[in-house]
Amino acid sequence: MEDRSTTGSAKYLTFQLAREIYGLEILKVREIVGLMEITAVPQTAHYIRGVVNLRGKIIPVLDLRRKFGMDEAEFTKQTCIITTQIPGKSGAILVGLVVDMVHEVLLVSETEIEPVPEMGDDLQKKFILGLAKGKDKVTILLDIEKVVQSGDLEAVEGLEKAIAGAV
Amino acid sequence: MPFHPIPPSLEDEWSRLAGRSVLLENDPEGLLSLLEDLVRWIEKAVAQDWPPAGTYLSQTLTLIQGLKAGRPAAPALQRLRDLLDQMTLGEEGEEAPALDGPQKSAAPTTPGLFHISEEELPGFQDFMGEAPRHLDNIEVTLLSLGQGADADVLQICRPFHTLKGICGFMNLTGLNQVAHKAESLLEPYKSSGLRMPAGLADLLFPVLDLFRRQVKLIGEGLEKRAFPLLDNSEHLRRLEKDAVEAPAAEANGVENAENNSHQMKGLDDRSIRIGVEKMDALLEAVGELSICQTQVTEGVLGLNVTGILTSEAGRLGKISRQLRDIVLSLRMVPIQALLTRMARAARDLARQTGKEVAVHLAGGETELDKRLVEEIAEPMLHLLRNAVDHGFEKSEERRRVGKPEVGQLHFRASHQGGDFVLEVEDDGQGLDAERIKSKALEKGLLKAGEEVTHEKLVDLIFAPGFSTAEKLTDVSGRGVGLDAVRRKIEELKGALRVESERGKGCLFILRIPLTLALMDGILLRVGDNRYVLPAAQVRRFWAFRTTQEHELSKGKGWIETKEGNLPLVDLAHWFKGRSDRGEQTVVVEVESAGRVTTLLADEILGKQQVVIKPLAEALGRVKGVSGGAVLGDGRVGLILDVNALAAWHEAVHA
Repeated sequence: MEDRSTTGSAKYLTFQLAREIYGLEILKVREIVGLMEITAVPQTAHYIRGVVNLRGKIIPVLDLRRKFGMDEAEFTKQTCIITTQIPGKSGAILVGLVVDMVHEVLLVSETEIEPVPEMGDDLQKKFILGLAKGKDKVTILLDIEKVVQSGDLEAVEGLEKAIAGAV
Repeated sequence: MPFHPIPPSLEDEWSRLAGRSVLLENDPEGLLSLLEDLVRWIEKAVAQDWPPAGTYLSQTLTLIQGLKAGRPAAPALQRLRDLLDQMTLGEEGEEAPALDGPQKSAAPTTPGLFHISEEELPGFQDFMGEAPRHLDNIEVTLLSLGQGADADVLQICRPFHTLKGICGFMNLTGLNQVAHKAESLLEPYKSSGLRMPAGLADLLFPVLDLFRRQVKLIGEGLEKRAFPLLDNSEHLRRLEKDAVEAPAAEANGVENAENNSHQMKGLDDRSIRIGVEKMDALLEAVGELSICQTQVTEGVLGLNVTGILTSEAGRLGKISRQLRDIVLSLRMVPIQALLTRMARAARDLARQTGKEVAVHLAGGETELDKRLVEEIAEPMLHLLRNAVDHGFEKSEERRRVGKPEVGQLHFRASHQGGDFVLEVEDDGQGLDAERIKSKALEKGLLKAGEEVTHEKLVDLIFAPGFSTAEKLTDVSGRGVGLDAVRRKIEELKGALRVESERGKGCLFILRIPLTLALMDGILLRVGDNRYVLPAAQVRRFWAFRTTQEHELSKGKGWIETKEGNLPLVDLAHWFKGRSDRGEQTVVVEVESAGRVTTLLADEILGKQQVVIKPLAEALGRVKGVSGGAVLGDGRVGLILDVNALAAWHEAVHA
């Protein structure tokens, strides 16, 4: 049950990477699973950790720390994989994201979202929908489709390079 | 057309009729299909307020009640047939239901576009599922007839009759008319027991083609809800003409029909049609179940307890294996229909190229996953083209070298060690080493003076763009055939071997797993990673000390074996994985489409049945990997693409 004040607002799943809190549109989240054994796939971009078997489907797993150029961290008990569902060439595709820890579901109204300030590098900016300012913290809202799709392109490019290098 | 609901009382009658017809399990006279046709027609006639519908319905019911009361079946059956004919073609002086147009004169329909309405769509979907089966049945019989064997006229008549009914029902008047003509043409043999002349096959094959082409068009048009109608006038004319020239009497020959009908039985049993998506979903769930079960069982055994938990875990394993076998068997279909199609194609090709070829089929009952049957159709066609076009000599030439004039082409299907094996053998001229060599030199695929072993020869004929045909023909010479075969076999995780003796003939042995869902895999360890090799592609493996003689780096990718130097692909190098390799490694000899390569891995972990899965779409194509597999512990293993690895080796060490 939602009251009227929720119109023009959306729910975000928030998670932590290093010290930052990020948000994902909840509608694009399929489920959250604990960390499982990831099978590395050779000759893909470095931020593609590999693939896992999610109840019979093989899905790729992206490491968001690597993707955003952050320092690597050891996996902990809180490390988990958020499975997101995004449109692909032939129907929806599932992609897993390794994050440090999942926080909560946050209701953000449109009025609370602020544009990204003109600073920082462009590469990161294009993944960001906006910033949601709370009382004591800022949540970075991610455009997950852009994150994954740009990854897709880079993965393919990386692959081509790897192949060219190998031959 | 306004839709008239069937009055409730009629609907009752109708469903009772339909229900009863289903009860007639032993159906020696094709009564069941006859009743089905009738029921459909009556349903339609009633829906369209066609006045005589009521009469037909009551007549049909009377007949059926008569049958039930044990009256002789034959006259009642004849009456039923007549009734159906009257209905499908419209009685003299009476207008048939408006939409169904066919008139007694059977005027040729003009080709045009057929639009499928919403109500008709399910009907056409059923038609697509049903029609190919009837066409296959006709084809099997026509083929044996064409080769001079005795054939049972009923085996052709019945499917034609059913098709006629369905086509009439679907408003496919053109096909309905052609089927009717074909049936009339066969009528004399049915009633007299006369032996059908082989020439009849030549007359009916084009009809079969017309049906096949139309069915294909309908299939393609389902989505767009429209398909082009083929012109049937030529067929009608031919059938008409020959029907007039009444077939020459060749007495006797019905006894043999017993044999054929026995053979056919498997193809026409009562069955349920299930959508492929549902089957795939079922298989996926069962695959998951068996992985889950493995883990549960391992967990239970690890607890080291006795009693109900342990015994039930064992039972769970048994049941889940059983379930998996059943689900897999559901997807299995006999290869007969495909073999028949190949025999037919060989016959046509031989005719086109002016050669005489007799086709022999064996192992038609061998079962294979339905999807694989579809997948191997194309490679088989290429192999067959290759045999007919390159393999067989013309009759004069065969006579000259002392071979029987008619070339012998064998298709043999069998199960061997969990794989499906298909052999295509011809007694033609075999691989022409000299010609292949000179062509390869010309195309730069071979260096002058290079030694050409049998393996190399085979590799060459499978190379992209390679063809020894002097000129392009419709049949072959484009140099895409065998290359396409190799790629397809690789995709299906199979292997292909070629044996050839100059002047004696050529033998292609195609080996693929029985199903695309499960595969016997050899598990390799390379560094921290595990890879899967299709067991069908592994020839042998042996321990290997890296310190010995070879430095396994770039530029030294060969290994000495008794059979000569073989290419060696270091998987750790290829996948740039970390390898904590000690001195002990293992060399695995693999074969794909006649090409033998060896792979260097750290360890062989064992043989395991794995569930094959497509690799994540978002990853795109990963070179050297042909797909993913879920291993027994639920983790993902990557399946190696042997062909790509071999090609990579070739590119590096050329």
